[in-house]
Amino acid sequence: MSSEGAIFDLDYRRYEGERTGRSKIRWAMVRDGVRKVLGLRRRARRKVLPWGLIILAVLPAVAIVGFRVFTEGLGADELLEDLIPGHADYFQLTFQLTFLFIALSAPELLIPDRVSNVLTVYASRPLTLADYLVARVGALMLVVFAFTLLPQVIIYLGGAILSGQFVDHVTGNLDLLWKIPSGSVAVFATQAGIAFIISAFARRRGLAAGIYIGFTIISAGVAVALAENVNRWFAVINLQAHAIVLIGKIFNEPEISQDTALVEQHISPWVSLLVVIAIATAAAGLLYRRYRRLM
Amino acid sequence: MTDAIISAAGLNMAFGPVQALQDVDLQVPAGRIGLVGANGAGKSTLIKILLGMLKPSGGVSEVFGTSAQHHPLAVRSRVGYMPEGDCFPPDQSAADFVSYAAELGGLPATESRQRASEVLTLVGLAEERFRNLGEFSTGMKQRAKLAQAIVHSPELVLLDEPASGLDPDGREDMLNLINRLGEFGMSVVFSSHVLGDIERTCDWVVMLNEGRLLRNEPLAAIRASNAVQVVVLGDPNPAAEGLRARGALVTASDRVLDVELSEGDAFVMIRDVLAETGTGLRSMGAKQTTLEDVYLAEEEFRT
Repeated sequence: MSSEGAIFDLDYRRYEGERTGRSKIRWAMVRDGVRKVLGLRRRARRKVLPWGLIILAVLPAVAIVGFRVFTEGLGADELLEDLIPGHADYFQLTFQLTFLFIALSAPELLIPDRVSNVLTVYASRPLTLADYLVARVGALMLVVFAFTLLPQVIIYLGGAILSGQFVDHVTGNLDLLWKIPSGSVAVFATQAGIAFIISAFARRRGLAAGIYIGFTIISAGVAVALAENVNRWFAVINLQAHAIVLIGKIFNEPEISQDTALVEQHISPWVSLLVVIAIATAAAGLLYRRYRRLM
Repeated sequence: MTDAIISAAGLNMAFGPVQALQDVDLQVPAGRIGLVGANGAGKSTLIKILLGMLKPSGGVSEVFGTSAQHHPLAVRSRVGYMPEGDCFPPDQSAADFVSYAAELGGLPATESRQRASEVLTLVGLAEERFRNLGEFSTGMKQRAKLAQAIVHSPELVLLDEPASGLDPDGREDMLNLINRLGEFGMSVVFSSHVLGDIERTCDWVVMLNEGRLLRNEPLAAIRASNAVQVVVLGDPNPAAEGLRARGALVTASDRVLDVELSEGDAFVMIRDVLAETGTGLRSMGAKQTTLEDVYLAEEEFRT
C-alpha cells in the first residue's frame, strides 16, 4: 500500500445517462408520500402515531390467531366461530383506527408541501399537477390498504394454516381475495376525500386532523337527529356509516351495519355506493381546482 | 440571433390591474445572463413564464426552441430553478431532499442519491447534508436551493435572487458558485436587483423596469463608452467652455468633466484645451459606465 495520499477534486459531473419517464417520477412521489405518512427517514417522534395505530390495528388479528391456536382441540369450534370476529367484523373493529390514521396522514401529505412552499420545486419539474395529486392520494391509498389488509391477511392465513387443510381453506375462500381489497377501497373512498379537501385548505396539520375528526363525529350525530325528526334521507350525511354498510354488503353480512342510521331508515346500500362515488368525485374535482391556483 | 436559448415575442402578463410584463421581446444566447431590475420589475414573472409555471396574458416564449406555454414539461426537463423564497420541507435532511429533487428531474433513484451527495459537496454542504433543512441558516438554505436546482444536470438554471438575505461572505461564496456553473457547461439566468452582483458574474444583461424591457445586450456593450473622464484642479468651467467651443459634449459636476466627442481624438483635444486655459489636470481616462449609470439613465429617460 502506498503511503502517499492523493486528493481528487471530482468537481461537477454532468449526468449523461438515460432519464426516467413520468411514471418513474410519479412512483418517486408515491414513495416519498409513503415515507412521510409512516415517518420514515424522519425523527422518532414522527413515527409514534402512525406506527402506534398500525400496531393497534394488527394486534387483535395476531391475538385472534393466537387464541385459535390456544383453543384448538378443545372441541368448542362452533362456539368460538361466534366469538371470534370474521373479516367483515374486523373491518368494523379497526374502522375507527383507520379513520384516525387517515385523519393524521392526509394533512401530512398535503400541508407541509404547501406551507413550506415545496410546491414550487414540484412546479419546476417535468410533472403535471395531476401527477402530483395522483401520487399523493396514491401514497395514502397504498398505506391505508396495507393498514387494512395486513390484519386481514394474518387472519386469512392463520385460519388457513390452523385448518390443517391449507389448500382447501384457500380455495374454499377465494371470494375473500376480492372482498377484502374491496372493503379497503370502501373504507378509503369514504374517508379520504373529505380529509384531503380539509388538508388542501388548512395551514396546520393538527388543525386539519381536528377539523376532520370533529366534522365526521358531528355530522354523524346531526344525521341521526335529523333523520329521526325531519326526514329519513338526512341519514346519508353520516359518512362513516356508508363504509360500514358497503362492507356489510360486500361480505354479505348486513348485520354488522344494523346499528347505523342508514339501515334504521331503510336506505339501500346502493345509495351508499352512490354517495361514496359522489364524495370521491367531488373531492377529486375540488382538490384539482384548489391546487390549480397554487401550482 | 440564431443561437438564442431563450426567446420571447410580445410577452405580456397582467395580474388584475397590475401589468407585470409589457410587450417584452427577447433573444438571449447561452452563457451567464443577468436579469436586472428593481423589486416588482417583472423578473420573477418572466422566470415563471419561461418555466411554464405562469401562462402569459399575451405573446410567446421559447426555451431551447420549445414553447414554454405548450410544452412546459419538455422545457422543465432541461431547466433547473432556484426560487427566491424557501422551498424546503423542514423535517427532511438535505441529502434526502436533494436526492428526491433529482428523481423528480428524471434521474434514476440510485444515481440520484450519488449525485445529491456530490452536488451538496460542491455547494459546500458536505458536512451538513444529513441535517434537517429546518435547522439550516439562510446561507445554507440558499446553497441547498442551488443544489436542488442543478442536481439533475440541467442545461439552463434559472436563479431567482440567489444572493438575497446573505451576509457579505455568503454573497461572495454564492457569486463564486454561480461563476463556476458556467464552467460546468450550464447556462445561467441570474435575477437580481443588486447591479454589482450582475456585473461580477454575467456576460449578458436583460434589464427590466416596471415590466418593460430596457436593455437586452452583452454587458461589454453596455459598459462600452466613448466618454473620457477628466478630473481637474481648480475651476473646471474654462476648460468645459473650451471643449464645448470645439464641438465636444461636456457634462461637468464639481471638478469632474465627462467629455464625449463624435469625431477625432478626445484625449488630444482635452490636452490642448487644458493647456490653453491653464487648467491643472489631476487624472484622465476612459469613463467606465456601470450598470447603475445605465439603469438610472434609462429610468430618467423614460420618466
